[in-house]
Amino acid sequence: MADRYRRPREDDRPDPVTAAERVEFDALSETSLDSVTASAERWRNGLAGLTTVVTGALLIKGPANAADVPVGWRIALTILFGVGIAVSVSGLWLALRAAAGVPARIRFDDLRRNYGTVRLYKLALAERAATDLGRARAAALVASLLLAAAALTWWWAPPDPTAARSVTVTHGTARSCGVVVESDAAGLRLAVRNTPTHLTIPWTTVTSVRPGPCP
Amino acid sequence: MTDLPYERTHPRAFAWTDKAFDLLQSGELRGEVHRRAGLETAVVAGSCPRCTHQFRFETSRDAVVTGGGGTLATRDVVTDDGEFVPIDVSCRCEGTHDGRLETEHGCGILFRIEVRPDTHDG
Repeated sequence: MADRYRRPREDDRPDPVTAAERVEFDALSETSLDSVTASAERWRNGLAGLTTVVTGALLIKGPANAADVPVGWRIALTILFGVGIAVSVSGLWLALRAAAGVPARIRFDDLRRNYGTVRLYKLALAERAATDLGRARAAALVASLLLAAAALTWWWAPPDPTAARSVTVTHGTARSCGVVVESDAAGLRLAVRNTPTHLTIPWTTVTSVRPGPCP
Repeated sequence: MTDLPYERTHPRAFAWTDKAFDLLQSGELRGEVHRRAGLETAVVAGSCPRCTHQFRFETSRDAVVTGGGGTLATRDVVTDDGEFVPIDVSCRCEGTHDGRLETEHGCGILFRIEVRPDTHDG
């Protein structure tokens, strides 16, 4: 234990300005955890607002029905929306974790053994919250770009060419939906999805024909 | 025993640093530096080298701030755990010392101790 301490040299006396600055810095250090969690809370609210704005704009400006766009474009929309929402939710989760923390019990003896001082423990908590907050910010940026890309993709997607020729035909007690292939004196021929042959419906059984995309 | 007045003449006299080392050796004063994951704090507690009042002083090398994009971020400097870490300590006793202002603490002295750090693994 004798070499735990060393006698300072006489010319290494404390500097009064450095000592005064140290007091200020210690006050800053003491509030590390509070300042990071408060900042995280603001970011969490901001992220939620951002997601609401992007999603809201999408719902207002997008086409009335996503089923009206061709399948390829619909797949792209699904990926952009799905990943965008997943990243956004991840960011909100990280911001929430930074703001609220994860409740855990710690014993004084454990704290002393693992951290030495309460201050070091609080600093470690603050640093963890700051790391979460940094990841949440990155997630927010990525999610915003993905959701904005999804919105723009939706706006510019061409209409599904088959949707314009789709009809729902009520014939007898049945109802069939498909793309009109041919219409003549004998009846109406439809190409029905997932059916290899065309469906021919005699005019005598048709009670109504309603244009519109199939469900 | 009458408490000493607040020190104005020689607050940084080497005598306080010298006496503090003797108190550290005798166990009447204790200093600890703790490191973990790049963070470092120090705590000094025990008898003041001047007024002999009991006091506790705590300080840290690091702080986490939320100053925005212009925040001055620092990286860890690799230091040898065997090195002695200098700590500038001010008396923070609760004793009565004439001449002490409302914003001041202790008996007015500032001294230095040098301690080997304790490193805690994550």
